[in-house]
Amino acid sequence: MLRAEKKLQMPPLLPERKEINFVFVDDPKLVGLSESKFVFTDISFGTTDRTRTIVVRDPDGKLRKATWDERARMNSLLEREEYEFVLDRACLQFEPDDPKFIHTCKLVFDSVNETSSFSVLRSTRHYGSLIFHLVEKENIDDLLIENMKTDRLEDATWLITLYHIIHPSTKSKSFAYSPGKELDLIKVLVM
Amino acid sequence: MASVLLSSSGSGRYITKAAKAIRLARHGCTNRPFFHIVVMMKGRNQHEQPIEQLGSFDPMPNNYGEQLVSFNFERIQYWIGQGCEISTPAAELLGLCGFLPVHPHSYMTAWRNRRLKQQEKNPSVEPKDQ
Repeated sequence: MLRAEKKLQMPPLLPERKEINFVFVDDPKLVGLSESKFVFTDISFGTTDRTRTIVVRDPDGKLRKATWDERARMNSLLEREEYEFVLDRACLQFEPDDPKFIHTCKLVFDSVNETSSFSVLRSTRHYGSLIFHLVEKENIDDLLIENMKTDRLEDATWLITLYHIIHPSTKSKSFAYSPGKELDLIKVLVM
Repeated sequence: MASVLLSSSGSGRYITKAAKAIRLARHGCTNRPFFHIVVMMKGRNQHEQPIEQLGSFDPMPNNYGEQLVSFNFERIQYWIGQGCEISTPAAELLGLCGFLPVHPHSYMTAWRNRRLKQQEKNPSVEPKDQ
């Protein structure tokens, strides 16, 4: 296949897949064998991620095919959290005022916030935008907790200062901050 | 424990007419078991080089409450065809996945666990046999 053809190959357009719901056998005599499920994966040579057999033995003795979620988990045991790659790629691909760029960044930032993996983006060019996005959405709780847990009191203070600049109507803004009073500042915000 | 990483494609000691077995070999470390499912000559030390690795078994449930087992069914079929014996734990796993009939030992364990649970609930009642 020509390289251009390969690069222009359209991704297949498919109808949405149906949930796998197939029970091979229900064996109530196996209840009590184990508290957890057994997941069996076929690793025979030549099977692909889509064709390999994956079956599950439930604690209630049911032997069934694995659901799509379980299949995805077994096929990629390492959940890749390549946030920086996606953001770098978005920078290359879009103009910064492109709605797609903004949408992509927001998706990634929300995902980072959900998994609390701020350290992945710390010391990269995207950290500032991440903080700005979270502060703008008034959703800095997780970041604040992470900062406290990793001994980053100064970062937490800066975060709150930025929060006050962007949301001047916050109650805690009246607190007169001076170095050494970081903990008090955080307490006022949380209260 | 094997001091060098053994190749999963085997090259363990193989004598044509000697009995072989599909069995578990314990890897992992203290308090963290992990098993390879291997075929090797019967009666050998589990940490010797296997003839071939046929899968793996992680007996500690992960975050989703799953014990992960992998089998190379194609090679297992081959080795069964060669007349390999299957050890009880390996046969239990193969039974649970539907490849072999469920091993009687699995039913026994399940029944015992159910009986224990029942006894914990109401110790006065004598459990009836099933």
